[in-house]
Amino acid sequence: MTAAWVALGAALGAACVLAAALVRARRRAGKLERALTRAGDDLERLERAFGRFAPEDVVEKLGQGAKEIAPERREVTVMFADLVGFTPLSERVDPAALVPVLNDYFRRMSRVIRDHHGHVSRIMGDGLMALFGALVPNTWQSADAVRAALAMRAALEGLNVEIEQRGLPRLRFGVGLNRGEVVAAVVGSDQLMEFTVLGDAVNLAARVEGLTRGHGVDILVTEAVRARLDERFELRELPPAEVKGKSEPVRTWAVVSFREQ
Amino acid sequence: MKEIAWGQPLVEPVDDPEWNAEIVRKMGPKAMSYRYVGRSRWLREAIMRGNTARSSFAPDRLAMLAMLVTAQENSCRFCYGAARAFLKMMGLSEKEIDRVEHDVKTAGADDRERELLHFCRDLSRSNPRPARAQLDRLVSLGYEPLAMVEIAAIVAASCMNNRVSTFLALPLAVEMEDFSPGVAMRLLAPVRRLLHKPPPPPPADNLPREAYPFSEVVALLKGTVGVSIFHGDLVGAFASPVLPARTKAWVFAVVARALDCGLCEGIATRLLEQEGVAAEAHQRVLESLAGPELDGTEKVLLPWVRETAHYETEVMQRRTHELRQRVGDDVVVDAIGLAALANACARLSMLAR
Repeated sequence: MTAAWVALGAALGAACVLAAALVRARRRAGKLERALTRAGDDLERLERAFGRFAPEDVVEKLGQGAKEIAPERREVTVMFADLVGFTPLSERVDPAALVPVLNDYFRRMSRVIRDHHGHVSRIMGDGLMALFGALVPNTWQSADAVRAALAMRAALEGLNVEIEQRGLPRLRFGVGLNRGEVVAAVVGSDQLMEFTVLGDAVNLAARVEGLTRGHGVDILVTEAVRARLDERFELRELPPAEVKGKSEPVRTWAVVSFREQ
Repeated sequence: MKEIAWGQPLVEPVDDPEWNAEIVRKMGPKAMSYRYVGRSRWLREAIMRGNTARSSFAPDRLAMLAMLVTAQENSCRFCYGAARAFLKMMGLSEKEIDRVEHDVKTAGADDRERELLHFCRDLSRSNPRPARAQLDRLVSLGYEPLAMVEIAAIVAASCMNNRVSTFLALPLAVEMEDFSPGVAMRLLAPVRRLLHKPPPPPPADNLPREAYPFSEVVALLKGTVGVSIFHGDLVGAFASPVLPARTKAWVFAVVARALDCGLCEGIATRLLEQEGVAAEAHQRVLESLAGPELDGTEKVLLPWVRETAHYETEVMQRRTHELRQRVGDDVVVDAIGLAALANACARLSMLAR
């Protein structure tokens, strides 16, 4: 009789231990599941945020831990924008006053570029490189890029009004635009990598931006861009100019305005 | 999805007792946000068709996954919340839905399902549009061919619904996003599930004999429920008196150009020719989205239409509000439906060999 009670007690005890273990395991599984869901949500948020800087499939592959992503050839319009005379200005004006101005400039320009289907790919000192048609194929990329440049001109004017009120000198920029086939790739190392484009079309856009100073204009486009603009864009042809890396002088057009229909 | 900014509704809801009753009868009282679609008869019928049609070949689970993935890709909070609420009404517990969501995010554990979700994502994004080979690969993995055609149709129809919901900024009902079924609904769920059997497959050749625009695209869905959905949508859209036929053709042409869809652009070109637009003018307009050949509405509409192919929710809702101010409520609602339908057709045309 006693043995039976002992056996029953032992069985009950074992059942209680098992039940407690099951409850604990269930709780742990629930916690893990919630953590997994949170991680999934975070990943989704990150992917959405990074989708503004690199194509969705590239972001997805990086998120899945891909070490290398095959480069692709793409037709893009490349924009280089540089502030004119900013370096000497930074030597004269207190950096504490100048850095917020520079940040404000980049914020305004980035917003305008994004509104016109482009994205800022890189910021280099007081300059930026923006791409149109790199994240999503865009048949209207050249017109978008030129309209973005014109909107940037207007945005800079708005910024200058505020800058002058603070007693700082006005800012001026030069913008160069070129279109062509580039290699789009994720480049860099484990420490620092970026989605960017490489190729002659990129170099020429940078050179054309440099020509704005010599020609005394703010927005210049190459023949490849001009060929895709309609009559609403008012352009002025400039004398062909020698640029590094090109055997023939490069023809460029200054962008005057855009007339809405 | 809750962190995605969502603007104010684009237009006022239409108080039409007939439409309100239909919403309640077919989609339930939680779907009253569809009152905002009410001013366009063809669009409201299209929305109803898209929301109530059921697949015969694709299992419900796959169909729901396809819809959830598409709503996620299009950042459509409204459709995502609606899909979740629908699953709950079907008797799935919060936990089961979370598992489905988890499968959507992590592409599940099954390789075959992962490939399927990948296809749904690619088709929804269309950046670029997936090739037919991607769908054929799913068939080679063991999925039924007609089930995969239905999945493509579900993704395309969801892309249309997502655009309509997002551009109209249909009000997000908190009770829909956080909907919790009552005790009675829970108890009846197994019965509901039992009754919720897939409909019998349509006839193998279910293509309508009549001629209508973009019938070539609908023909790609032959033998599936997709035919009745898109045939009805296209016939309704092109019969609508709100916008002229030429404007409708322009809408389809612009979306086709944005998504690099040769089939749809070819059909739109023929429609434009019938409307007296010369090939040379047609090309010029498509390259610039402007030109003296366009009327006042088309001039403001076409630059907006191109935005509908790939967009950010917040920016697109802002731009659609700007469009409404220029063209008015009736035109903007019809244009949203047309652009959404054109996006669906351009995605469906990947089924062509």
